[in-house]
Amino acid sequence: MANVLVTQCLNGITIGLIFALVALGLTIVLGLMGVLNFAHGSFYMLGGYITYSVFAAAGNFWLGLVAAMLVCAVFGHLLYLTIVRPLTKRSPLEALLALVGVSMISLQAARTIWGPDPKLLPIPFGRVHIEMFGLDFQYPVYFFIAMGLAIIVLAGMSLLLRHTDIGIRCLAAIQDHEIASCMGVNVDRVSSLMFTIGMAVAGLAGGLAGPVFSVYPNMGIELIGMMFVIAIVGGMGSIGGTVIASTIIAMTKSVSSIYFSGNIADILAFTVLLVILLVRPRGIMGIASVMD
Amino acid sequence: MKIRTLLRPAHALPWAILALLLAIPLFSGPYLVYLITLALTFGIFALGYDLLFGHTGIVSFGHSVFYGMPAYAIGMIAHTVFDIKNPAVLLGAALLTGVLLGAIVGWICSFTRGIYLAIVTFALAQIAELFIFSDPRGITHGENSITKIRPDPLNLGDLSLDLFSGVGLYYLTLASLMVVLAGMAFLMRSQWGQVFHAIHQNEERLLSLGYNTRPYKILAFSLSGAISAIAGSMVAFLNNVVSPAMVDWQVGAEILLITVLGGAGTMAGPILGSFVVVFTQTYASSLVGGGNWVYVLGALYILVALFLPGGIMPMLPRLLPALSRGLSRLKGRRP
Repeated sequence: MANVLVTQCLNGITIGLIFALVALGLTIVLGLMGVLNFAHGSFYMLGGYITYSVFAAAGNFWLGLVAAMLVCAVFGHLLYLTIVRPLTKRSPLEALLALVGVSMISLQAARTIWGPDPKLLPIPFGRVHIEMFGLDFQYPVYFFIAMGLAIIVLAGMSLLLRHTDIGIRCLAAIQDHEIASCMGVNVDRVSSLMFTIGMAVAGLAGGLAGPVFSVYPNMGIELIGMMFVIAIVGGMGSIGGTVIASTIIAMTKSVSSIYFSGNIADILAFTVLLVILLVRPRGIMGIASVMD
Repeated sequence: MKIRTLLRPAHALPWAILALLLAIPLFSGPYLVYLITLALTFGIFALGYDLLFGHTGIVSFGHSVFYGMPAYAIGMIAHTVFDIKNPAVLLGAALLTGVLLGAIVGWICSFTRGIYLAIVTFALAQIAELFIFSDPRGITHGENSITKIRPDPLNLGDLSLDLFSGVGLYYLTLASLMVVLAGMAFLMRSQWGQVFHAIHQNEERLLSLGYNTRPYKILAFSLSGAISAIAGSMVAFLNNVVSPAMVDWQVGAEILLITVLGGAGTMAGPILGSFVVVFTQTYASSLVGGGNWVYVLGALYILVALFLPGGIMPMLPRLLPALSRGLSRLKGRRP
């Protein structure tokens, strides 16, 4: 029993960290521009498919991850220039309308290009036998590597936001973008950069998730709703809050799935998030901002 | 509103459309009748959504709850829990479910606002859908949907009216839409409607004027829930099926898009939006084949957002003169 519990906890942490990578871009874009980026899930999916295609062609999973980040960054920047920038100034809801259009089109395009069936990515490396503290179980090495990569990216983003000039400008713009732009912050440039980075990280998350969940057209749409919840519950623009919220939801799901059926586990996870949101209306680590 | 104002020439177009809608089943096939019924139910749903969204200024991502759960109430009463097929009981139960759920969700949501409120409604919709999937004691049939929902015909003395399939349902839905439209028009002129609009414009000022806005927000949720419940029950009768897809949050997102597409805060916009979406889905799929209609609808969303700010409806008065100007210029005349 203890073995199962520890395995599920480790799964929860891995999946939670991947979720945090997806929600990261979402929460920064939401804080900066006030737009719920519905197309974010499409980039997660695109990242998965690019990783799969590169892996199928070149046989190297890690090369696939790099390619996924690059392709998602390019498409993300194009999306920002054509749709997000013109629309966010006018109305966040009309931007949402257009972004849903983008995600519908990319879903159908993925079905056409790669087919509707899930693509299986083999889990790189084997399993490691863990025998300590009276525990005895096997666990895939890849999960530990995925955790490590996610932690490096999240810590890197956190450092970027807190200790570089552009990051501090970004935080200022999240807090109040009118005042920030009065103080000389080029909000448009900050938004453009952060949007592109967010998309690249979503692509990386899609690639990392490939061996865990397999790659299929609906993977982004299925996830995007939960990502909105994580982004809001974590607190807009807060990486720490996002990590806490996504770990809570992933842990609740995977640990309670030992005891209950999958649906009840999900109900529990959403109830926990709901209670957090009602107790802390601005999210776990949220700051008062323009969105109020 | 006086009767005379309804008969002004400016109102000729709506009356003509109503006459056309009344006449359509006389000369068209069952498929078109089905499609228009579907569009009308979405119109009712979008009007209910717009009561909260366009008029009160509250964005909800979880309106599928008020659409799917009343339909499930009908399914449970008619099939899985009881075996009551009386249409009045079924519709009454659906409405009651809509109102009660609206009040509960509204009460929970009144502790938050803005984007946070939207996420709370979303989480509630997820919980509702998962509840349906978990199939407690076999009352929702989980993924299998509740099928064969067929209420008895309505008996008025010796007269027996089948209002729950085909043309009968078409007229019932059209009549419901008219009642909802008239009710909304009346509501928006009443004191409640004024407070709803005031909440949309500036809730802080309303609070400082001494209004307690919370009961009004809960009221808006309840009314919106009741209207959405009408739409949900009509769809249950139309397809004879209640499926978990009706509670899925994507339905709630779709109705938000329909409302934004048509024009939020206008009476005709949400109805226009639902006709555009239903007919694009159907006719684009027969034009381009397979699932490729998604490209057409997706492109439509992007184009409307980019080039028609405020949705289709508010731009129509500006669009039509521009069109007629363009036409007369083509003919070489100035208007």
